[in-house]
Amino acid sequence: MNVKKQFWDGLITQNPVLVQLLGMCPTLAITTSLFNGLGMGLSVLIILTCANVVISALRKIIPNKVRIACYIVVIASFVTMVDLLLKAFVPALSKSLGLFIPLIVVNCIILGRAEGFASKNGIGASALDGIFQGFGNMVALTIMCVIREFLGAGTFGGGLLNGGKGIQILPPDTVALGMILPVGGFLTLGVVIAAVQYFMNKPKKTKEVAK
Amino acid sequence: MSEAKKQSSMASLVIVLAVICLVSAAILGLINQVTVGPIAANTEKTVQESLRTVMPIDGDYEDVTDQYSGDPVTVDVTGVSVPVKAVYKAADEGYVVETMSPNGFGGALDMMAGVDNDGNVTGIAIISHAETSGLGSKSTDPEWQAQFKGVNGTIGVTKDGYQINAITGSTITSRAVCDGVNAAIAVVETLG
Repeated sequence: MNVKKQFWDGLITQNPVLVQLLGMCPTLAITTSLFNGLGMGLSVLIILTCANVVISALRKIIPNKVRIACYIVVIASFVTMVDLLLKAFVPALSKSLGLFIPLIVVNCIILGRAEGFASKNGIGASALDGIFQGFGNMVALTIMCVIREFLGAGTFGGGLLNGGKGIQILPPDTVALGMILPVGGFLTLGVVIAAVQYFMNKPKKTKEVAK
Repeated sequence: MSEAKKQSSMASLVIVLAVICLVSAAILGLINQVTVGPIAANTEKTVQESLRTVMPIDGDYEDVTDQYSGDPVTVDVTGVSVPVKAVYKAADEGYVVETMSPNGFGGALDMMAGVDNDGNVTGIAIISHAETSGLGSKSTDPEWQAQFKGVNGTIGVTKDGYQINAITGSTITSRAVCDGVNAAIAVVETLG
């Protein structure tokens, strides 16, 4: 397995959010402040990596016909475990991420990678795939968050910097509130996907012209 | 490899799935055993800390939920029926009432309000909510909550002709918080 290719696949060419268009639901729902994006990204990264490793280890035992049921059991178990452990030992983090953790069960990035990668590849490669795809997801969420937070609330680093309020960049009266409402999520996602597609396809076009 | 898998018998399907479920259930049971204590302790700690915020007293708070009939309170301003979750007696100072104000933007708001013996609000706290991050979530901001301190009578947002400045862009959340405070005042009135 080519580690470098896997890395770039996760980050750009096969980015789970911006190219594979997986996990749209959490992407639209939670990308309203920097903290949310990083928190959700990190939770998905951890659970995706764990689930990938277990599913890869079990790939020769799990019968084809019931594979989806098996994957869901594994994923749901990991999510519940993480949820309970956070609640018990890191209550502060659990309070802020509490809303997102149960959402991860239905995040199709994890099922998508289980089906598309971990069930066909070795444990090491699957673990790397989990880390890289999780990282790509986190980067995509963070980009969405920064744009929406800046336009919608006029701040940067909401939930993290300046005692949780974020640093005010635009005056509060001039912001477009709609950008942190669901409609802003769709607008931002569309623009970001278009931008990624534009830059991914650009070099090819110039080559064609050169010929 | 998939050839062998496709031919796997019904029995093996059932066995493999059952074993995976059993192992998962066993691990989860174990984790639950380990975490159930700390989680209960954390919840209790949150409740105690919120009680201290809404009505600071020297002694302990007494859970007097049994003394209240348990009926939901109908708030006159909005016509909303607010369920009462718990009532605490803060020594001789007054009461703290925990309500589930139902009409938040993202569902019910679990919140507390302290009311002293003269019917004045001493403070509020949001225990848990699912409001929009960056809008309704500002209801947890102590600066915004401070304006509830000392108010009495009927509570409502300025848009409806009352005294509370609603959070910008989150009138619904602000109204829901006011509902909870009104319900708390009504509960304390019945307790005398």
